[in-house]
Amino acid sequence: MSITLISKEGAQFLVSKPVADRIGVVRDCAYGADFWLGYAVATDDSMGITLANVTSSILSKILVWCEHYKDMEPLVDGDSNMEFPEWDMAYIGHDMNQILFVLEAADYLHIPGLLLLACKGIADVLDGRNPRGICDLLGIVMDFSHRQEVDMDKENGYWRWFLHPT
Amino acid sequence: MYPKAHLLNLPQEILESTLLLLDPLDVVSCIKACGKLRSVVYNEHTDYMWRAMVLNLFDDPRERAEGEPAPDTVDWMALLQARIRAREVAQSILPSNIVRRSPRLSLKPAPLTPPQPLHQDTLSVLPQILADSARPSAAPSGAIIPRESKNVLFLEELLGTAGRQSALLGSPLTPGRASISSRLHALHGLTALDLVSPRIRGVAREKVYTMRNYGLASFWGPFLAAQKGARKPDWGMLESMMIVLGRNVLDSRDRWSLTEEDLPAVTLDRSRPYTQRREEEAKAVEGDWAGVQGRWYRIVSFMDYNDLWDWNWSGSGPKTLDGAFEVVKLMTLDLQVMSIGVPPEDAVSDARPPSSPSGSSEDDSDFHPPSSPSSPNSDTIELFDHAGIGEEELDDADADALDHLPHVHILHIPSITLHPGGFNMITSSDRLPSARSRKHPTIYFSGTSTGHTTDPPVTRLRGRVDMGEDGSVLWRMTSRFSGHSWVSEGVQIGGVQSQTGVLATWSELEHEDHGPAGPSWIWKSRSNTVAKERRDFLAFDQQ
Repeated sequence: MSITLISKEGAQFLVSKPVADRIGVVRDCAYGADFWLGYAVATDDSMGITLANVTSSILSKILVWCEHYKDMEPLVDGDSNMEFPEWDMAYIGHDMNQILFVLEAADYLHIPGLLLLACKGIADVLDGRNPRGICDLLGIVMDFSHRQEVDMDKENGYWRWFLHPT
Repeated sequence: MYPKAHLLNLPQEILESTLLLLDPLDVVSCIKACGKLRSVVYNEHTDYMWRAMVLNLFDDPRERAEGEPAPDTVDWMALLQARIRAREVAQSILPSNIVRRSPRLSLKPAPLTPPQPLHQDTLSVLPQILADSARPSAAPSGAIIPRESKNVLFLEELLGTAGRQSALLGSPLTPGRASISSRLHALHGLTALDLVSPRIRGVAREKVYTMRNYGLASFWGPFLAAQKGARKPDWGMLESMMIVLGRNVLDSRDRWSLTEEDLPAVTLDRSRPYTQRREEEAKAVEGDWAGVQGRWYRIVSFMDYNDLWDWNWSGSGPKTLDGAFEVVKLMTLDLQVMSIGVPPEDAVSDARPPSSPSGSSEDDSDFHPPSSPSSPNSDTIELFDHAGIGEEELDDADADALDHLPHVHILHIPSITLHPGGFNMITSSDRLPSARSRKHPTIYFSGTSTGHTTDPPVTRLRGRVDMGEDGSVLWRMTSRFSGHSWVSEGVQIGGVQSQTGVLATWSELEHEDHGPAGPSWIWKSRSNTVAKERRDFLAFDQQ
């Protein structure tokens, strides 16, 4: 069985059930109703599900991930020491903008594994940067007056001693 | 899609999980960059983020073994900051200069480069990380179910390379090292360099077998002198004992019938609290917080007395102990708890008259009732701390005698002999229990020691286990063997119920001039077998 997903622009993506199953929203919408209604809403290919918040380019990227993970379980829980598979890191890349789009879509579509991977992608971009570097990256100005900064150092106590040079 | 994808527009919980994928140091950079990110971490309502960051890297410090007192509330932010700071300091310390020549031979003192006090304080967090590591649980049979600890992994990573080991642990070759280095070394066990260097072994032996390193002020044990009557571990001495005994074990282990898990070793994983075997429920004793009840093994190392004399007192002895000959003996101990919190009946009831020589009645002298400290006529050394007795309570003669031993009060100088078991069996701390010792009351035990070349093969012993003010587990044991009474004073490496066990100094109870002393190691059995030694290697014992 397969199912049709429709992007914001109206492009149609035909995906198989194991791939669609990775997308929580689609799973609940198309098959989860089974549980509540006693029958599945989507019984054939004729029905499409519109994902109005997701652009075609992001949806196609997300489907690559779903395709990759259709037979295996992705990581859904991580800590700062966890190593992600190489494929995942190559997939998510280092483009902050792109990652954020994927992240928002993954959040909206309910894909915990991809959400975590996107968080990891952002963490990797932030990794090892000093505060000024982070501001540059995010395109914000440091919104602390000098006075606040001094207070913060005090609060952080001895952290300051080994903070990355600014 | 959203009009503008921006990190700061993301919902709180996503920001949280993103930050939790970062190292705490990078989290600090984020905090400093932006108020929004800062508010994710600093939240006046909850310390969730700090807790989560700690639990990312470390075991849950609130978790406790069965029967262990519950910990105080945790300040997660302070905990994380102290540990991360220790990690950063540990990673940035340059390797200390290892002095080539031995300190005995050098004419002028080598330039000392001890870590700055700042580092010493910072790094003292590291042993605490080990003490807070996850508690393995025990099967109903008492066997320990192995459990990986994030804290141990953290320390192993920190001390993993030879460079870090030489910088942080160092070796006894470097004089004037900070005691934190020695302490970490004693907890970590032998490094690759310790295994091959004859000089490190020699220096460690020189420390352990130099009799002027022992005395009343340090209780003839691995304790710092002049601590106002309290026993505080002397980590430099314990480190040397670990090296001497660790190398001796490697040399002798092949002739012991011990299984791999019963063989003694020091590793970070074994130096965790609550890793020693627990007794089956039927045999366990209520309140036995140190797990004394049960089977233990012990090795004792000593030098031939002639060699010991040459080294210490002849003035023409060897220059080093690199090639010294030591004897290693293995014994099996079976210990029973006698009482907890209060001294056993016979320990206080009757004092032996001083005229009776302790050797006259062999059968009960091993297990004999120690002298009561309250009877002034008995031959007893008693050690009080300042808290127990004020200066004005001492008479003049005693006060004079104290001039050169400022913190130890000698009330009764031993004249001829002391009763085995009488030495220090009762101290002032029994009368003035501290807060910590109320949670961990003194355990009094007795037991038997079974060797294979001893005559008689089974000897009786007794002793006590205390919790020191700094949380260290202190052992004291007396026994009678080959016509002499012996006392052992030691510290359990890694704290309560650690599998590493107790490093103890043995010495003669009488502590006469030129009396011998040496290191020994006591550790709990994991398999309950009786340790056997192949006799053929022990021919030299018959001399």
